[in-house]
Amino acid sequence: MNPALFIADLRVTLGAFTLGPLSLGLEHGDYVVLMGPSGCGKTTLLKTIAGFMLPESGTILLGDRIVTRLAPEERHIGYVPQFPSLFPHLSVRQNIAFGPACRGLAADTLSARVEAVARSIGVGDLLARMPNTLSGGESRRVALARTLATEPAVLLLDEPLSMLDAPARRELAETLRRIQARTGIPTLHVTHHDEEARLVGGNCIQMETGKLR
Amino acid sequence: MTRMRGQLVVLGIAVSYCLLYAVMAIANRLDPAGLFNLLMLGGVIATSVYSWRKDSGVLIPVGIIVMVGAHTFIGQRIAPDTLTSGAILLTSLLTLYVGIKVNLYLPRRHWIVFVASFFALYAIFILKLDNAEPLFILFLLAMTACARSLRLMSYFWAAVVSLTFCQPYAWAAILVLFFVITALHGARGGVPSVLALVFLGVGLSLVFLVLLPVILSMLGEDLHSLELMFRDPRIRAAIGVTAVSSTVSTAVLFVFCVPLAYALARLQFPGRSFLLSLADLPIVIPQSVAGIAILHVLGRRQVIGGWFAETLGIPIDGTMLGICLAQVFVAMPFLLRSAVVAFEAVPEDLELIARSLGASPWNVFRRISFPLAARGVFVGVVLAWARAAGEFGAVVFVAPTPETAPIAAFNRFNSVGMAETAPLVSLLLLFSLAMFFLLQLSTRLLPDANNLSGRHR
Repeated sequence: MNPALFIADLRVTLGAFTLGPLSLGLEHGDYVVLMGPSGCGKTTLLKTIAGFMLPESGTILLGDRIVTRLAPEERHIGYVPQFPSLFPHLSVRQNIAFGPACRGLAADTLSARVEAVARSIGVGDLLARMPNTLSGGESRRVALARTLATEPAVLLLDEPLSMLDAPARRELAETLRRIQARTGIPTLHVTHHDEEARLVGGNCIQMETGKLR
Repeated sequence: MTRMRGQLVVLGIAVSYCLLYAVMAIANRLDPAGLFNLLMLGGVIATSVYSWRKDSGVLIPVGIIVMVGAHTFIGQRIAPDTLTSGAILLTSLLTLYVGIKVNLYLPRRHWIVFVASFFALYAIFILKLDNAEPLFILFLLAMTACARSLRLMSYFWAAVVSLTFCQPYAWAAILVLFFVITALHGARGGVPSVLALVFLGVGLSLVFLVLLPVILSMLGEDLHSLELMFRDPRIRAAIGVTAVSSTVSTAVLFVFCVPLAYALARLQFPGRSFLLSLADLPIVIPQSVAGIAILHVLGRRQVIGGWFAETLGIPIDGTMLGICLAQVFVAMPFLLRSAVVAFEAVPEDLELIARSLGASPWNVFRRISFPLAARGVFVGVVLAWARAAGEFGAVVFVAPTPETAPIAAFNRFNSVGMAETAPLVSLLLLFSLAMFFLLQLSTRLLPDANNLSGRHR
């Protein structure tokens, strides 16, 4: 049995910057915090796994599927970007329903799924709101709920706790830990903050410019 | 003491004035107008006594002197009968009363504007409005009503100046001046900047130039002549041809330009910027040249146009198809440009995230990119439609018939002249403006991507 996510000898070139080659494996139930300074390629790594950019060489395996060259919509990887990037013209409910609806979930199960996910993330009473009326912390949660509603095979979190005040950060970290414990979804969390790994209770891997240490 | 003496003088003048009037009235055997005047003179006395007892300064006696003096020496000479004279005096009294209030309770500049306005009105009355007392009385009443606010006062003066000096274009002038005043009063930057206000003024004077002919043409005609014009079958046909052809052209442009704009906004490829500037070519080419160029290719005596006309049986020049082709040609840059800018404003990250959530590229376009760009795209649609509907130069070469509305106006002007064309011009202006505002309004209903997009706190 392959690990849930396996990255082998991945190399990504972005102008003058080169990421890797690096290898990484995530088992089901793993919560890995990848820590490194700004500009060391954390976001590039996540975007490559999510399919927003293509690697120069190397392989990305999801279970026993090779997804290295697949389009983002075919990978089934949940990527929560650093800036929530909610769809501004859709309500919170429509935002969360977007993914499952695109994957063809029937309308009756869809609304039940949206409400269940929203409740578990703690945004159940925001469903009718528009994104531009949400606070920073609320937007983060909605973005997380939007991704989790598609029941992704792997969850990629880009600086999920940055730019929040201390109580909001603790609460969101608590939510992340709870979700992870309940679903066991393998999670890769990148950050430049030492504190975050301790907050979410994950395994910490250090990253330097383009390399894992 | 001197102040008291001054006020006694005023009182004296008022009383003697009253006596003079009484004598005149009795000599005229006390007609209703004379009685009316007597009553009003009672008012003058009461006001003088009131202001004297309240001891509210020297300005009020001066005001009374001026008013009564003006009335005695000027008003009396101009007014044709005692009733009119009395009405003027009554209005003057009201003005005096309001003036007292303005002087007591409002900032000094209100008072200055008020007094200056009063004298200016008198001057206009004497110099410009000869024998139009009712109008003067009306102006004076309006002025007292506007005294509270300098803004109202500026509207008032815009109306007075327009009505007295800008005949026969008074209503057009009023509209334009009101617009300018509203803009200037409403102008607010964070920090008031004199430079910005001056720039606004400079710009507005150009707006004046643009607005004036439009408003003049629209207001110049009565409804009856517009209706007559609208009943003319030839005009109706022309309006119909314009409506259909410009709508078809815009639809064609929409179908081709929206995908092209999306591609231009999302793809980087060699020749992209060349393609973009090529799309602007129709703006640069003189429209008549464009029309001749189209005719050169698609006219029925040319190779391609001839093939269309003979083999396919679809002649292009002189038909609806030709009109649409010419309109598409000249209107394309407007839609394409707006759409490219609108799609470029949609963050690419949103699209990638939508795809990562499971949406196919078509779904991303349909549910994310297009809705967010819709407003900008529809602004382009409105501009392109307007351009197509108004096109003359290119269309007249490709298809002088069937007549579109602009060509109908041109032909009518050439055959029967300015006066006969004016109602048509008003009609066409009304139609275009109505359509334009309608489309603009519907644009407002679409979500504004710039206002909504993820400004995170």
